[in-house]
Amino acid sequence: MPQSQPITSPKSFAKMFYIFASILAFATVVFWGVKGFNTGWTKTQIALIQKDEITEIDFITYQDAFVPGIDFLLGGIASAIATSALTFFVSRKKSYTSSKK
Amino acid sequence: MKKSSLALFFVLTSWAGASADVFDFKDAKGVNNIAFMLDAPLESISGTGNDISGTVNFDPKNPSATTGSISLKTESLMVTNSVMRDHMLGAGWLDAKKHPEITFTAKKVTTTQQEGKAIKATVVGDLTLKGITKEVTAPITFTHIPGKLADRTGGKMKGDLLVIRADFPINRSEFGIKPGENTEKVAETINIRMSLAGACVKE
Repeated sequence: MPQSQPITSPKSFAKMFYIFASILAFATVVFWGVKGFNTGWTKTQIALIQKDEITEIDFITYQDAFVPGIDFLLGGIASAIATSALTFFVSRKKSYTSSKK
Repeated sequence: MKKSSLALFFVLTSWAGASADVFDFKDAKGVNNIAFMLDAPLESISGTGNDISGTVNFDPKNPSATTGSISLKTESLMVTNSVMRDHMLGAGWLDAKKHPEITFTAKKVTTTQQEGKAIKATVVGDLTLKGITKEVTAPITFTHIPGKLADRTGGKMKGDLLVIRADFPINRSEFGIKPGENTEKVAETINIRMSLAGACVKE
């Protein structure tokens, strides 16, 4: 019968890091997708094209908005990978401690 | 006889001078804009500037005699990324604090053809950007809209409108904007599109 790990044990930390990394990666991809799959840089404003009826001039107004770009996506995934790497570090630390005993 | 001839001369010359209307391009509605587009191998950048002022003397019967100057406040240039905008206006690129205005002064207009209300022409002028002045030649379209200022101002002012459209490329290296640097991300060629409406108040 498997024994449950105490919440402060290295294995529990590793599991928490792994879950956090998975959630971070998933959330980053979903947020990026929901905001429009922007393959350019992150935008802090969006441009709205309007037309003046009398002069027929197209002009742009800017509205504050956060549109994550490819830099946001790569940053989120890189953070998730870094967090996953911590999982291995914590696991190895545990094995090292066990082998010393 | 001599006095009356002289008076007639002054009347005629003042009438001839008055035939060119002065159009003011300071636009309270914020419609006037100068757009820029750069297409580098790794990155496309586009944005606009809309703090525009200046005057143009235009006579619809003699568009070749058009003269005038248009200025854009460098600080009004916008892109959709605030960090990119800070870099663009910073000392490394446009240095907006040291060079607060970008100016185009028309020197010569050659009328090419009239298409409906639009007069298509070629303008030769001096463009001053980042403190460097270079002569540029650009195709330009004038559209004179008589009596339409009232529609634009809700009847507060009466007069004419003049719409100017021009598209032309410039090379940023010629204006000392990081010559030859970062060309993979910031294109050497900057395509500029001017869309401006000026007002001439008549009543």
